Amino acid sequence: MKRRGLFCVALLVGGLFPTGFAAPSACASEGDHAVLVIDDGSSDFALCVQLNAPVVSGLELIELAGDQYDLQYRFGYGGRAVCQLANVPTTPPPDECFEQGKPFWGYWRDGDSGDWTWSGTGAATTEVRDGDVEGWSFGEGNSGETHPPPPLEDFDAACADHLATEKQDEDPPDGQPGPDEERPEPDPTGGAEEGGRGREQGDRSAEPAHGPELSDERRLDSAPEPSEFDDPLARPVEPGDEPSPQPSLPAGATSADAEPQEFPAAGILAIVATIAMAGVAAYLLTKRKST
Amino acid sequence: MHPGAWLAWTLCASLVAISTTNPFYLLPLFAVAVLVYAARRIPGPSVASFRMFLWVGGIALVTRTFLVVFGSVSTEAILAAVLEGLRLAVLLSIYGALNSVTDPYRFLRLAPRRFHEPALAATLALSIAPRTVEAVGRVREAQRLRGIQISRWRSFPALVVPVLETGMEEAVTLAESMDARGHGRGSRSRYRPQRWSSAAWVTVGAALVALGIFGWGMARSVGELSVSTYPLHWPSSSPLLVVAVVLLSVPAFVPEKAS
Repeated sequence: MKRRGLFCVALLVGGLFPTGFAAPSACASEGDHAVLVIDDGSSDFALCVQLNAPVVSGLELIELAGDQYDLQYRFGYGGRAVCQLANVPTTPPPDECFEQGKPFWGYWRDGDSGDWTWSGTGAATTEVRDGDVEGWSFGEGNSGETHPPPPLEDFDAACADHLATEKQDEDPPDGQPGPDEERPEPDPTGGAEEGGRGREQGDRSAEPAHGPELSDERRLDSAPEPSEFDDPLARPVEPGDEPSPQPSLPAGATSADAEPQEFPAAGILAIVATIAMAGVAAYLLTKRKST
Repeated sequence: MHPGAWLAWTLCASLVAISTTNPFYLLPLFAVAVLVYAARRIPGPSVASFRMFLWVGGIALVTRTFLVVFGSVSTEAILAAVLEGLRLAVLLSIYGALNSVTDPYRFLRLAPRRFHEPALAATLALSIAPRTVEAVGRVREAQRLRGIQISRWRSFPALVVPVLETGMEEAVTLAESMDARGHGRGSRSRYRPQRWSSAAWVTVGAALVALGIFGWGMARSVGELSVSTYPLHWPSSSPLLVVAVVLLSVPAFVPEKAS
């Protein structure tokens, strides 16, 4: 147990660096999960998100998905509304992103109860608990009747991997390393140069599967029907790669695929210009004496 | 340089400042304001006046950031408030630069005859900053001569009344003297007309180009003009927009022409 605790800390610290660790989901308090369904109009996917508290808000669920799956998102109106999700729309919208006639991200709740409910309140104030299924769909229409809903999702189907894995973590006897310690970290092919793709691979392989046999079993048991998961961009399996589970995030939906995380070139230009102009100003101020 | 050119420059720079909260555009814009002040300030109370604008800008930034405590406090919320405060501070610095490079009474001569009185009022309003600073200086000196020595902050109440009084008196005196010199409604002098020099053309041209580039950026959602701090990220900026901001520093580099 102590070894596992130390490893947890190491994973969490490692998770602070952008190396593709999906550490927090293995080490946060286990048990509470919610499902986040995202439909951007051309593709849809569902994510099983581990909650870090018994109750979180709809926006916090998206933030957690961002931590665990590198889901791209951007909030507007002072962090109260979803303006961009999974890189849709492709150009970063302004902070006040709702405009009459333009498509937007509609918020749906209770996807596990047979039909979606159009949320009457914003996602900053809703309560999401263990077992909830939340949905977001990009389209036009200001009400539940006119806005296209995302595909319905079953909580147990989407979260089967996670719940089974956690059960596995509790099983191994002391002295024997748990599955996540034994699993060799699959190297993202091509490293950082491949950008989002490589990082995404690391994420996906690091995510629920914890060993080749396990992932195969899980896949057979709980793989959802292809009609539920639309993933036209699934990558081809490379030789030497361990068989990964059903990819949960289509390529292009991660924040790594969006604007680069490192300091932008324009930012460097701006800093240089600022310093240069300030320097000239300082020179002029010390050179001339006002008469 | 013709005050109309400075007015156009200020208008363009202000619109650029208002359009964005991206620090990679706002910080160079602030440097532009300081550079223009340093290069083209006119003798008089410019130094103290510009410094006052910077102070007020700083207070605006701090106040705007402090307002976060009235909502949900988080790093993202604080940074969002800082960026909005920065926009205010930069706007004030642009106006401060305008104030330090122009003589407000020359603005008055731009007004058509029909608008002379409101223009006069506007000119007096424009000049209130440098005039107040001058008044403070004079009152302070008078206090020192009388042997009143109080520390800077504690002497503030003793300063306010004389400065306000002086301001009132001065406004009346100014109006009377301007009237006597022929700035009144009745006459318009063609003596020493202000010429629109090539420096003015270049300044206005560069400012309009800068504004045009930002207008295009706004229309096409280029270069992350409005930055969301949810989640925290380095704003992906457009180098073209940074260059547009630097264009606004052109008036600091054109050769001065006596006009």
